[in-house]
Amino acid sequence: MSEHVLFLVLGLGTGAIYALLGLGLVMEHRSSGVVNFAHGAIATVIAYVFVELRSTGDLVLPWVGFSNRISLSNEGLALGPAIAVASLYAAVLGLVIYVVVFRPLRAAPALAKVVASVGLMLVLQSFVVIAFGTSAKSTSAVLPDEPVELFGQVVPRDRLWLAAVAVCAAALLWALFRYTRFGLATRAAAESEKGATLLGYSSTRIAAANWVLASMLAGVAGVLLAPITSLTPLQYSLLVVPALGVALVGRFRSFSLTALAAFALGMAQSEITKIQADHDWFPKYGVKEGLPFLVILVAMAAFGRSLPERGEAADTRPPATARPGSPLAPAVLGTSVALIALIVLQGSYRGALIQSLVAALLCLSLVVLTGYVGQISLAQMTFAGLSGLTLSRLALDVGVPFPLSMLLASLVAVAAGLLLGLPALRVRGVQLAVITIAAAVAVEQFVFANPDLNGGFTGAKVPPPSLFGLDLNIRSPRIDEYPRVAFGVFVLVVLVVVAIGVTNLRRNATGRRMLAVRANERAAAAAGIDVRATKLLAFGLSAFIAGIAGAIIGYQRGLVSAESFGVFASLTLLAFAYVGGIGRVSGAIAGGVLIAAGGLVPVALDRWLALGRYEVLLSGLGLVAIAIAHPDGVATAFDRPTRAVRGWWQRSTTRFAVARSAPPVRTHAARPPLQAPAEGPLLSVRSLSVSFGGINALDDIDLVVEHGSFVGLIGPNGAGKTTFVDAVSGYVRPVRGTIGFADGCIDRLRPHVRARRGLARTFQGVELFDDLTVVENVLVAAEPVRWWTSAADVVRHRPGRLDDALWALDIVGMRRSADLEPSALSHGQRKLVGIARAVASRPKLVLLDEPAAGLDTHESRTLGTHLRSLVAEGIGVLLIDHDMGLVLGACDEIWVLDFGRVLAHGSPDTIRADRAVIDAYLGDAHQEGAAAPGAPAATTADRR
Amino acid sequence: MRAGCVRFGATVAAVMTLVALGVPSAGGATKPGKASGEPVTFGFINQEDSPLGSFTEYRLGAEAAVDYVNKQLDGLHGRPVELEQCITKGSPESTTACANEVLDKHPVALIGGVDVLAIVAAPIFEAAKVPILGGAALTPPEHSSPVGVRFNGWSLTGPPLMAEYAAKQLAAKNVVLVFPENPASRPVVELFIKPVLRKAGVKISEAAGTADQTDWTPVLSAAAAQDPDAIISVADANQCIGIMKARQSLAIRAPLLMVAACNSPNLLHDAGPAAEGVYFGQMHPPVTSKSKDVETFKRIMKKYAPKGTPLTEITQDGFASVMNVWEVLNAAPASSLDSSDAVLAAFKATKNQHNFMGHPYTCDGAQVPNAPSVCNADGRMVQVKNGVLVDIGKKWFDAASQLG
Repeated sequence: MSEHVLFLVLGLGTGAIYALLGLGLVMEHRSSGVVNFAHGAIATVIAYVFVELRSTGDLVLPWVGFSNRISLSNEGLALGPAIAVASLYAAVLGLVIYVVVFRPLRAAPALAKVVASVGLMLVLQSFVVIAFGTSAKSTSAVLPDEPVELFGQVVPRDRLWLAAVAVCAAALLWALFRYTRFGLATRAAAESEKGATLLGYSSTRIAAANWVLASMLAGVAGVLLAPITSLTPLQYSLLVVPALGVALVGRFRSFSLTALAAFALGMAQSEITKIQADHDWFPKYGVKEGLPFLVILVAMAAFGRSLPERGEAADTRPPATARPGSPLAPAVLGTSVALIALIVLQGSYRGALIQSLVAALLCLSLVVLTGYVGQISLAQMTFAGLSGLTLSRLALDVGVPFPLSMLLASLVAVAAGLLLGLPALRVRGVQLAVITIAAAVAVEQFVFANPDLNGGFTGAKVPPPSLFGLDLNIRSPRIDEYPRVAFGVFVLVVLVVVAIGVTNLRRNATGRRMLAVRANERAAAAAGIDVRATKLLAFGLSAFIAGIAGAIIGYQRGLVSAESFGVFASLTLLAFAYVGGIGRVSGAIAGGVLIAAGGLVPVALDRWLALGRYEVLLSGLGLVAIAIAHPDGVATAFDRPTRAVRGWWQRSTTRFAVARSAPPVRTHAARPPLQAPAEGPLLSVRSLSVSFGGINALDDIDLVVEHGSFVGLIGPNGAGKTTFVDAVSGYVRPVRGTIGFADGCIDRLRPHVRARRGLARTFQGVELFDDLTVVENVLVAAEPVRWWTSAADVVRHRPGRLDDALWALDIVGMRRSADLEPSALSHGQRKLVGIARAVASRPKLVLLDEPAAGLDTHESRTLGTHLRSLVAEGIGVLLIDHDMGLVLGACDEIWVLDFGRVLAHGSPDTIRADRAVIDAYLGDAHQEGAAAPGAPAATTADRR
Repeated sequence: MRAGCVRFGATVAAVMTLVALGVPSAGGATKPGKASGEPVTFGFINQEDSPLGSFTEYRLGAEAAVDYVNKQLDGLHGRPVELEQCITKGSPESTTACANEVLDKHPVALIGGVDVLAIVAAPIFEAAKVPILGGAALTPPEHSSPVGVRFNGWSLTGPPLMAEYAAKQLAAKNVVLVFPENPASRPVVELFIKPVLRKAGVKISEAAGTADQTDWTPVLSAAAAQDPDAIISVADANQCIGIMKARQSLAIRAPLLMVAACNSPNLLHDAGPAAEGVYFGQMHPPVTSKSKDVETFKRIMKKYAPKGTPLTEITQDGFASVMNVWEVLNAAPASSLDSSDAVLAAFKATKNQHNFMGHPYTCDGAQVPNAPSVCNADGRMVQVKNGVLVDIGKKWFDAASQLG
């Protein structure tokens, strides 16, 4: 027993390091929204500076190429001064990093920040390599390190001190954020930058101060770790992975949870060491590194929510995507150029071109997943590696021939992609990125590091491909034929096919649904999109593409080795893809050819410029610079000239835009009603109650909407109107009550299913999909989803149900704006497009949540006319609005809510005259002359 | 418009700086000196400045030897030796690119360097039928490559030697193997250490750390709990200090045996007292020994290598590889210098050939079981005594023969 306690105690040292790094990550994220992958590298720099101060007395300044050393002592600095100088160094480094790199990225997409931090990590690692060399270093003890006996076992005393330092740091930070003005300001700025500014706080200064503290914490970790382990350029950078894991458990908010998770992880790893040494049956591979991450992965997935809550912030500016166009011309042109290059180039340049094609294929996998659906994956190389290993087994052990073996291997990657997609159903943004890292680490340790699975020391061999006698081997018996053109053509054909498929995806309904999910999951669900299925589809498709690339890497090298598929390979792949332009196919090609390691342009430039040992440093600087200058990728730099050429082409060939090209459609006035006349209640809500944290937002609501009726739902702010709509449409779960709709009970149905059954809704805010044009926004809801549509969408362009979309735009008078992007519309126009989207699927009932908010009187009146025309089409309307002119003038029947209960119900005249409604909500302004003599009294039974 | 131009310019500039990520660097050619005529071109690939490991001193040793050959030994048959170098960055992509780049120069052979991912390049040289002379062969595919001619054993020398020394010289009956659980270490343990220990009837236990183990005390504590007679470590240079210090901080008395990558002067200096008494299995006698070859090596390094070049076993092997190539090819017909096949044949015909700073080698493919490209795997045992590496056996140990 005492031995197990010993190992738990020994784990405190590692846990303390995770804690110190994790706390810094939390501070950086809370103050600036950055998940800093370079945090471990910052610790590395400070540790090296400290060791150099101690051993030589030189202060190494953070640049290379010219004098960067200041001698502070001839024989090495004493411990105290060295710690002081290293701490100051850390503070300045943190400040410079924030001001130069992350402050300019404040409003940039989350991915741009991720890429900048990856670039920064490369810069810092490279600086360490150049300035300090790569051989391992260490230094004498910082903390008292004599062995001490504990529970009858010998323990190094410094591990206990280390744990104490980490606990103190966590406690101090907790107190700092809870009880001081600085902490309050940081929390305020994290909630609302504008709000903090209005209160007189400078969000920039607050964030800068946090970065200084976080960097100093990283420095403390580096300095305290240096004496007890080998200090190498990579070792501390790798520590960022477990540190991210524990910060994730703390939700990047809680210092105490982060520290607890860190100690738990450190102690668990230590205890597993003991168990592994004692028991032969215990799994040897991956458990220590992989198991904790599996736990994190499952826990985070369990804690998450399937849809974001109302008001939950999404990434406000996802990376730009390209407007869809025909892939034919670029495919023909690109294929021709690449084919000629493959034939003309020889030797290493041809090899570099093939490497570019493979990298472009990998980048395409991220275009689908991250570019189209907004899911950040740092496990793409994991999918590729799984496919490569499977290919080896299938080809060698089972004898499955090419190309079946490649396709089957890619299906294994698909299975992994779908598994990893499960957490994405509940976790979003950079938190998802961290979870994918956890999964990648788990696979790396359980599979790639397992000699039973990875081919052992020999690697997993892959036999060369051949098809119907056609030899596609990269190798040739003749030295001047390597790499063979035939292999290059094979890779090119695969790339072109996948690129056309990905382009078609974007042009069709599946692509529109993906972009809708990326823009706004709540609104996407309201448009009838199955958000979960769309995400899983993207994960599966993306993993399939990565799997194909992994198989090709196997054919390219003749074997699959774990080194190609590690976590950091996935991280740099994301950076290449993002910098190229992750939202578009052309960006993937740019990422592969211009940027990816070993690709054509990098190899050529290295040959010409002899960048030597500075190349990684320059590459990191380039990543940071592009992330700042072009947060949407270098491919966007060509948007303007491309647009100009395309415009000229369209004008000169009288090509048509959607609105002009659409077949003539009947106006809504001439159109017969869409819904068959029906009698009886369409929506029947019984005893509906919703509560949030013990507060009843809705309390025992009974409400009925008849077929084809125009019903108003009014009440003061906080009455529960939007909660009612959320509950009916499936966005919040009632604590009790039933919801009947169109002769069925929809209580347990998910929002998109309710939408598909004919229950559409709009949102209080204008929740359009900004990357889609107006007509695409409406098309998203108009198109029915069939199981085969996604497959068909990959194969060819399908025009979609343009008629229905244009009809819906006609209904709200927005057809002329069909080709515009939502950002070009006024607030009122955006509201109208939202309504068009809701009715495009021809629902039975549409729930409109404050559609007139922000409209002027004229617009509001016009809106009333449009809404009446919806009813004329047979669509029932439930209207929530504070524009009493609109509600009282347009509705057939009105329900009034107050404090979550039905206050009144009746015709507009009845409501206008109801004293309780007047007192609670209307006031006297709407009373004058409103109550017609003999109007029925309000249904008092429903009153409070 | 102006802002747009500036932005575009910034993009172009940024791309120009970005594009070199992870690609190999052309190190350029080492120019001939006193020797004249058409150079004999050899490829040379070495891993440097990579966080995965840097073996710059191997290249510096090889370059000094090339200078020595060209300036003092009149080159190869009077022709200067030229090294077409490519430096890899610790990624499969850069190793592949380097292999292609070097082959573009049509070398007669490759003088092997140290690249932990050389397994990726091996099939490329095999397809091109270009011999790989000397250098580090770390994996079985490299050990059995038909174009490989390895003068020393690397992973086939140190690990089995440590096992044999622990079992026979230290009379250990219970040995714990300490290593990071990664794709490089585990096969070394299984293939090159355990078979030797099993043959000697030694009880074997394992205490494995993670691939990036930060604090080795839990692992060493688990090792100590087995009450071992000796601890054999197969950690790479990046983890040696952590293991030595953990052993010291837990006051473990069992002898510690480590691979030679852990005994560079800088590492031993940083490890301080924690390194005292540690044993190492290596391919060459330490630079403190008095052999003629070692003296030549030290003299030439002082003359031609950059000041401050550390004289480690890796430096020795870089130097020795070039010297061995020179010695065999200078004795072969001059015409063989223009044919890769002839070069390979010249080495395959060697028997008890002088091995610079190493045990004589024979390239008949039968010297080491299952490793036909390895021509010799004998090694020396050294120990840190009073901070200095001492050649404790002063003789060659043949441990690899135990692997059959």
